[in-house]
Amino acid sequence: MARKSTKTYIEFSKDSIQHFDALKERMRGADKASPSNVEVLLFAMAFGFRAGNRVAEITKSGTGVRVEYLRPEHEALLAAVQLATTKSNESLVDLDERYSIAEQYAEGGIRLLALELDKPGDFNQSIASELVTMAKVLEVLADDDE
Amino acid sequence: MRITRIQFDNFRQHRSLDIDLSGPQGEFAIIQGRNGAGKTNLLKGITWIITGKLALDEPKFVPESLISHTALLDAKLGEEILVLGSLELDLGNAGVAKIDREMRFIRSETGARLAGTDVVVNTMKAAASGYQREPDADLWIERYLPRRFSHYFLFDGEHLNRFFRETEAKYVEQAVLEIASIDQLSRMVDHLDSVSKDLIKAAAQGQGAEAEENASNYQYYVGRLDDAREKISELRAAGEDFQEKIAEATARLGDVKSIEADMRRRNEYERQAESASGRAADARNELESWVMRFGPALWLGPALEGLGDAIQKAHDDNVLPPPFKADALRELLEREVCVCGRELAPKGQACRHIEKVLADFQTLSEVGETLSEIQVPLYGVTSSLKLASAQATAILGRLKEAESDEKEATSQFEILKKKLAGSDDEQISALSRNLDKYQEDFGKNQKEIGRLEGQETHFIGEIDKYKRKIENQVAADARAQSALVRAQFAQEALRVAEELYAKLSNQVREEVARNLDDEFQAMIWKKNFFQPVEVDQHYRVQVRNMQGFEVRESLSAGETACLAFAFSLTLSKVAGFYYPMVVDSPFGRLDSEVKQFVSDVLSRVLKSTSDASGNQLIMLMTDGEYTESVSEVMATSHPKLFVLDFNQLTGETEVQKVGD
Repeated sequence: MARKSTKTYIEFSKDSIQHFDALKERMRGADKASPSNVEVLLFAMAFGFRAGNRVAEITKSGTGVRVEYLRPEHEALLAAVQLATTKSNESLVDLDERYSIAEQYAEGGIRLLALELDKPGDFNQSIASELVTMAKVLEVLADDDE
Repeated sequence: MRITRIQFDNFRQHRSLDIDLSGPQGEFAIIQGRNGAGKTNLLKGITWIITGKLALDEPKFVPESLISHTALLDAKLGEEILVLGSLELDLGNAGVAKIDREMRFIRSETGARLAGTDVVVNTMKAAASGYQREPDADLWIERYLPRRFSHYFLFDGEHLNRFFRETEAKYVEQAVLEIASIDQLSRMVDHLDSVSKDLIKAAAQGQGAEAEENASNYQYYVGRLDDAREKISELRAAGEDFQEKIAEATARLGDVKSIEADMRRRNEYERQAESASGRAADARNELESWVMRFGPALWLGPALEGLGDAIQKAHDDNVLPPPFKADALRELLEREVCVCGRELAPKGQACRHIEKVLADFQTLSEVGETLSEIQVPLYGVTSSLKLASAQATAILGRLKEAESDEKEATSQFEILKKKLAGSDDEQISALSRNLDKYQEDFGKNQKEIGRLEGQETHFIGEIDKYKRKIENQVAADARAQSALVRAQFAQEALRVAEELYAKLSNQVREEVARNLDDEFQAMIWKKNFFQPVEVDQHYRVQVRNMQGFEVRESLSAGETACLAFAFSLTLSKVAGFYYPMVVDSPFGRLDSEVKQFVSDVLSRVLKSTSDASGNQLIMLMTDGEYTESVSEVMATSHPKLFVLDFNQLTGETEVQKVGD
């Protein structure tokens, strides 16, 4: 069983708070409702991880996403990042470390996404295009496995 | 017959105009001028000299509107202003003639008042005899330049559609029959019909109460029949009026119903484009939700795979929590008893082994339990990824379809929007409503005509019935017998006259159709495309294509121009006289290629007929019509060329001859 975390929040830097809000606004879904903070956090973390952009030293804002809101499937994503970063199964029991790593990649992801948002063109379309390709590759691989 | 000179004094902007068309080239003249130079007023002026009207469809006009504006300003109060139009004519073997039409006005404080009008015709059969004033100018004009034909020889090329309107057919019939001089026969038929009825009524008088009653009934039905026929005639005139209104609305804006349908289609495409745009926006939003849902897992794909592999390896290496409870082992240590019941020596090998197992288990269970905890949600995440591609494919399919629909609908919308540019939706709707009303009224009108025609048949039957009764009753009376014999003779004469009239009328109609077809086929550039032109019993001109479909309504502007020119030439030929043809804007609605072709046709027609018949064509053309290519084609016919120029300083038109 993983050790209980001492952290209350997965935090962002003071500078990234506004980028986080902008991203959240930009990622409004079909029903025009904003995504949850957890969803944006995961999105940013995954984007930062994919880009290998881990920002270790940040000035924390004192606010972020409450860890109690993370559901098991979210934990699985965070654990995957943790394992890929530490390469040690034993590290998985350390939740503080897991959240720190998530925090650092999320910070890196938010900073990159802030730059993407400022670029001309349709941000969502370009990201969607890349993801759809990835999804199709996965599908092909899965079919091959079967 | 040719016009050899046109003169105007104080006629609108033609304060002092003199165009000399005498000489061998006078059969073909082009009078060129920009818009507003006075071409249309020249045509109206010529029409006025001949008919006393400015145009057939403009029978009423304010006389003062003829006065030149500058002449009015120059005149002193009480001074006479003479508006004069004069045509000199070459009648061939019949000599020459001059028609002078004038209106005299007196300058008043408010403008001018009409003081008198006059028309004078002077003729000269031979040069030596000098001019002689004709005793009845109107009669002379009616003989040489019948007013009823002016319509077909003095016209505006931009309004050629009126040539063949349904409502014009009766004028065509009238004109053609008058040309053939069988209109008298038609009047005789009417007279004989009336005489016959009067004689039958006369025969019944004084023949007793029953005969009187029959006579009264006979007269009653004759009266009803006349009333019904009069009503039918009125209704037909009203029906023609409706048709004319429908034709006018259609001529003004094309096919209003078609425009309205286009507007509906345009609005529908706009709605479809908006709907497709909404669907595309929804699909994009769905895609954004999809990105949010699957993006993290897709980007973390390799990491998730690594985690899955780690869990699988833990399973394979049996390093996941073992199938026993640690507390049970600790209890064994405390009791110093093995699970088999043997005692365990304190600090012995077995105890040390159990203590090691317990220490290892601490770590093993923490990692193993963590991996176990993650295993199920990880499976959920990776399983959900299997849906990602299918969902994306579905969303992208919807997006593509919506974008394609939007593009197609927008494209169609833009095409129709462009096509309908300048058309006012409200105006079209109002016109369409009016058209519906006219058509509804026309339908009612036709229904009423049908009802009255039924009555007509009934009345004819009743009249015949009472006529026979009267004939039976008056058999003994010599005077009545005599009246009946005369009535029967009148009826027989009526029957013969009707047959003769129908025969002659058909012959003339066929001759007109044959000539019209010859002229039209010679002019038209689409060879073997049209069947011979026909003129039906109601004198409607019919043009069918080789597949047998009536196409006159859909002839192009160039083809309509050819048909109109052919029709005028036909009337000349059938009538046996040659009315000078004066055409304003002959190529107004033709494109450049067709202009060139029609001008070539006209030049050829003119050449082939002018020497023998004395045809004359005067064309009033804008600069846009008399283009370089048209001028080159027409040069082969050596036209007399004049240029009208409106002088803005004097407010008058000046004419200049620029070449033969």
